[in-house]
Amino acid sequence: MKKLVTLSKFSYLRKLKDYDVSGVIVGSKYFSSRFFYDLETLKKIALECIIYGLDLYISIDTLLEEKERALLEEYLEFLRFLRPKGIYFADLGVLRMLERLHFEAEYIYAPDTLLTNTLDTAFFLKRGVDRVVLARELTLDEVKTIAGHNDGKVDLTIFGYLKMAKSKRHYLSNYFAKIKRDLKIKDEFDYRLKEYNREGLLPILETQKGSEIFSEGILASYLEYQELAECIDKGIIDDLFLSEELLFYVLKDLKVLNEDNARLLMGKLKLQFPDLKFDSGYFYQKTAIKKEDA
Amino acid sequence: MKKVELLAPAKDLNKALIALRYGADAVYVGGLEYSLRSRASNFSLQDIKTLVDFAHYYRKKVYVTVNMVFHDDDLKGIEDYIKTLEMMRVDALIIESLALMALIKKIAPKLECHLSTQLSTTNSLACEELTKWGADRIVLAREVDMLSIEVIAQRVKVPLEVFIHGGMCANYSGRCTLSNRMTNRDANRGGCAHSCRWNYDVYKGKERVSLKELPFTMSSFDLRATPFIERMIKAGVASLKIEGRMKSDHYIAQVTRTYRKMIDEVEMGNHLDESRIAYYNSELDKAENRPSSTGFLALEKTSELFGAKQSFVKHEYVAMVKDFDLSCGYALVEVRNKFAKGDVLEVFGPDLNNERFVVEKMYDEDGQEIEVANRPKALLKIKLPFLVKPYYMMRKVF
Repeated sequence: MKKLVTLSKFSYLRKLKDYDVSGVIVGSKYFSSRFFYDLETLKKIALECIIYGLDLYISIDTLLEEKERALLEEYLEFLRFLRPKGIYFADLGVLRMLERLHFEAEYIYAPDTLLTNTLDTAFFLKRGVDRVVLARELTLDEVKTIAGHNDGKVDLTIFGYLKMAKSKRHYLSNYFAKIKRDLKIKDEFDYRLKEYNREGLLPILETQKGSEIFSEGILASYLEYQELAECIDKGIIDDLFLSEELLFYVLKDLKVLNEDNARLLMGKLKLQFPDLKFDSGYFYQKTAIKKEDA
Repeated sequence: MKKVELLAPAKDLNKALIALRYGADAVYVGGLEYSLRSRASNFSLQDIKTLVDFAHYYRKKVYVTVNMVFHDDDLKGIEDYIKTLEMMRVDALIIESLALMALIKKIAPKLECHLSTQLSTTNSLACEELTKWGADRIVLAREVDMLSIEVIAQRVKVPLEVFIHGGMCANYSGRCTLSNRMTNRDANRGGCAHSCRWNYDVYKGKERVSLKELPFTMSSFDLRATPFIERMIKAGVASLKIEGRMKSDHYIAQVTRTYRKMIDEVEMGNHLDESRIAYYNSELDKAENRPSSTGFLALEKTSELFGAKQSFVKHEYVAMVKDFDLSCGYALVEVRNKFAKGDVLEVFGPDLNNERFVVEKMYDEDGQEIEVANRPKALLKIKLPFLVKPYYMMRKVF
């Protein structure tokens, strides 16, 4: 398993190679719900990736609007010159355009929640997709089964806050307009939601594209790392909402992590960042309960 | 102008028959398994067979939802289920899984594959890709605006289905796991707990910036696309879809009938001006509703999508007509909700436009005159000043 890091801050890039990271995932303000880099910065990132021997992956994680069709084509033509190793996309329209442009890169389908079984994974891998990113709502056993039946051509988030919802609605703007409160909202990373009857703060990010909501806990797959390493292709460390200190602390851990020290390192991580909640996501938690069973 | 399909939801056989009688060209239903609305699915295979026979007799169609986002364990028995549905002459399956589509094409080729809104299809490029892989119809995401629908319809050959009425997920359908995380109930497998409708505080850093008296919620206005129906039909949309498999008989009848009349009016060549749309909106108000808006159909107008919680009722459904005795002018009705002598009731049916009368005389099953009807399912005879037919509905006007 190679490690990829989403690059929320350009300044992190040059440090990454020292942490056994093989590449970065970035996006731009055009077709991303979380990256705000302009095209010039993307060029610089691409150049530095070459200098530091990192693979460049581009994330196009928004759902395309019809009016963006021509813009997407232009954007991909621009990206072609950056020679990315691969394109992560959430919308099958992007795949269509990549094929039409004969874009040379790995095509990686990343629809957040939709890839949850062996057959659907195989479906895409037989139709021009090089890898897929599995849904986060899978148990460890499910991940292993799906990967095992698909030659390991799957990627997975292995560290970070888990995205729980994607909306076209501008939740915070709508709410603060309603209560007549003037706050800077767009692209701000420090908003949190707290459900009335639950503990835990859910990060929420609003951009021009809408809103995304994330888990209160941080997935830290230290204990599962070795098993995942044997079955998946790329493990993604998602740095969204993470401090620089935490990101590089974790990358340092992952560099030396093995079966023998995993539990110890996990314990130390919790001690080092006592205000944060680390968990194992859905690896041991099936979410199959239906209304009538509840 | 191509004839558009009106597609209505149904939780059970009775509601499906009501939808078809009140003007739906097709109904979509869920089986006991594999459907996204597990709680709304009440169709045994025998019910589906009965429904298909009824629908086909009247040249109407039945679609079955097999649209959960499957995990490996969920797929057990799916092949037999699909083959059975094909044997029963179901017209199409509404599915999310593209692997399932490939399977259906192989083992049950007479079944059409309609791709669910769970796939969040928002553009013509995605439609082209899905068509290449075998989609017979694509349900567009509710997030697509009207202008985009028109452009997509021009650019693609595959028939498009568009939601026109009912509840809207706050998040992109299929891309929300709030319920999974907060309740262990998988929204993509029929367990949605509607966590989006709960109350939340908002914090910026450590400071609470929301109001206790008006908490944050993601809850959304319902969709009501009346101002856009004419444009949708003219754009060549294949199917106009009503949401609401959990809704009542009265809701299904009233909403289906209203859109039926709108569609018929457009197809007769009439223009739906503001006054006609206002009329149809007043008709839709008679069904129980949450506050509604035109959703994302109107460009960039998302502020009104916030914070709808309450529902309201202007008319209460009180009885369904079972029979009518022409010789004496008495209708046999089945009680649904309480009403009494002196109440003004409005009667409507597939071919009857809102006729009102005052309840003067009614008798119970033993022939005893009664003042108040308050036993649900009780059969009563009521004197009426006009002719009614079975399946007409009566509602109390407030």
